[in-house]
Amino acid sequence: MTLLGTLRKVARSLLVVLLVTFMVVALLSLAPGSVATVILGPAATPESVAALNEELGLNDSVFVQYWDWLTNALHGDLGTSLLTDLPVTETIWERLPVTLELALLAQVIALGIAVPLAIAAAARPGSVVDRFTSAISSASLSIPAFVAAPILVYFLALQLDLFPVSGWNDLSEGIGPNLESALLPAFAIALAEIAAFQRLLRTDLVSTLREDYIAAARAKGMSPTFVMLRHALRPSSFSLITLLAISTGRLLGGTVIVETLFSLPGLGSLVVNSITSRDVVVVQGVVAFIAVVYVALNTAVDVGYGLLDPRVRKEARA
Amino acid sequence: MTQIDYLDQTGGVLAESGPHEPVVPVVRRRRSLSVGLAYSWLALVVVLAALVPLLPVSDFDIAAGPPRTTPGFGDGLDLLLGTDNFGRSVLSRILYGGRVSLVVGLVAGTVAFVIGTFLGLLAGYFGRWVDAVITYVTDALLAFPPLILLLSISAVTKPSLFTLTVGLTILVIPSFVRLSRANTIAWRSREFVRAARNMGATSPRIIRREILPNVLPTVASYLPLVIASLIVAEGSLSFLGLGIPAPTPSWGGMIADGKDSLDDAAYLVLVPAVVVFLTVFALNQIGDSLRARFDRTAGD
Repeated sequence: MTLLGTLRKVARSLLVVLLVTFMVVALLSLAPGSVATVILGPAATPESVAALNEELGLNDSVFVQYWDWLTNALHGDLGTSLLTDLPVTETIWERLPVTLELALLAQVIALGIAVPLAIAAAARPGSVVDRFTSAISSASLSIPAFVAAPILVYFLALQLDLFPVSGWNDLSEGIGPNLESALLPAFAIALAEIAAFQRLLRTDLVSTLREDYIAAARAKGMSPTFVMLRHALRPSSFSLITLLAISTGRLLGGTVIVETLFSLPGLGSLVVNSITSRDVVVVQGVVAFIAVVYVALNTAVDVGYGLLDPRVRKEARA
Repeated sequence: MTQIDYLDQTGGVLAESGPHEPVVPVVRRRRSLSVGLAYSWLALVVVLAALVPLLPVSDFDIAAGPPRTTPGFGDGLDLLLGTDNFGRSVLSRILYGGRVSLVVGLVAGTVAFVIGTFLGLLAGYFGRWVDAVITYVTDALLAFPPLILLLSISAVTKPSLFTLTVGLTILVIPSFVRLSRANTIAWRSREFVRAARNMGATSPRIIRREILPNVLPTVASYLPLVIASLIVAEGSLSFLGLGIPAPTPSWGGMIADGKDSLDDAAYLVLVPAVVVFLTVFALNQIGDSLRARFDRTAGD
């Protein structure tokens, strides 16, 4: 990929970032009354509400508010919570590791299960193994998190007593207790990822295995396992890597249900709690943070793709 | 849902044209059992949810029996799926909750389908700044993880059927825009479109008469998948307590209510969980089969 192409992609996503943050600020400034009521309580007089609105700049136009928000955000200041008076950035850094750990652990579990399943299915397309795994994965794609999580809790935590029902042990309390509290929620998140990864890798593997160089390798007498792992797996894994990066970004905002159910102190439960307590500033900051990280990650994947796959590089040049 | 089977039609014409057997044998589409079951389940849920006020079940907000009666036959229709912590009939709540999920999914999906297809046609056909504006807004909306977008909308609105439907519509418009835009671009430079333009057809006419009929089946075949994802999104919101306010039942809300009594009354979670799963699974199966038939870009 040319330098110009890369720059164009980056510029494009910067524009998207501006648009996204503007949407967040504009959307949440639609309810100006609620901010003052949160701070002053329900018994506030109309005069004090008006005074506070003036002080917080909520009477300015959306564009002025956005400009103020943006300049502050670029200085690393996403405002302070209306309820706890803590800076939003501080709260985000506190909560981020939990969500990040959940997302990464879920991806590791998903890969660990999906890759062997995909290889087994692609080795003999149309076989019993193939049809069975594809039936399972299309079924598990239809299980939403709010269905999967309580059912896993029921069977694995309550019936078999393998995991705690809820709660979080920080990594500082040791890796054992930490994993014990993180595994079940991570597995609940991984369920849908397993199916998506398995489907994608299987399709790619099947089409790679039809290539001439695979036939050549087989004709040379290499074992099917060797051909599968050394010749087929690597060129088939590009779309999987892309999906992996994109879905990791999505999981930063996609662990809401699981975090709430297991009462884990992550970003998702922060958003939900701030919404129920009408702490608009925190919602604004966290949502903008998640969206910007997501866009940045997608752009990185888009740009980095050319580095991974020589075929894309050649096509771009031609 | 009735569909015209093009292959069968051709077969019919060929068979009538002469006394000989058709040269090309009629391709019989294998009717998949799981897709048949999916249509049946969906029909069952839709009919029961639509007719629930006429059925001999009690209302969703009154006690129909002793609290926490376990599911079982023999105690009448109300107690078939048991009762919840307040003695309300789970069957009745499932059916009334289904009304919310289905109406929200269907209305939001259809409205988004219409708006999204229209915007996509404009972007794909006119290109230039029209395309740039529509694509940037679409990209920006897609930059939010879906649930986060819904949550931020619900942060500034009072939860009601209307705001929920509007939020969900906004959520899925971008997917339809992308689909319709990509398909429009594929058809835009075809010969028959150019011919129409050379014959003096105006842009609105070309879009309406030449491009839309070709784009519509592909985009519409995604509708069941989108409705499935909308039902999931609605369920997630109600699970978090940010959906339709109580006492109106919803599937997500029932699971959230039941999760505290998983220990001793697991059916309170399992019953709505199975219903959600079967409905979403049925819609996905139907969507996959329609997509295999009408979407020429679908590879698998």
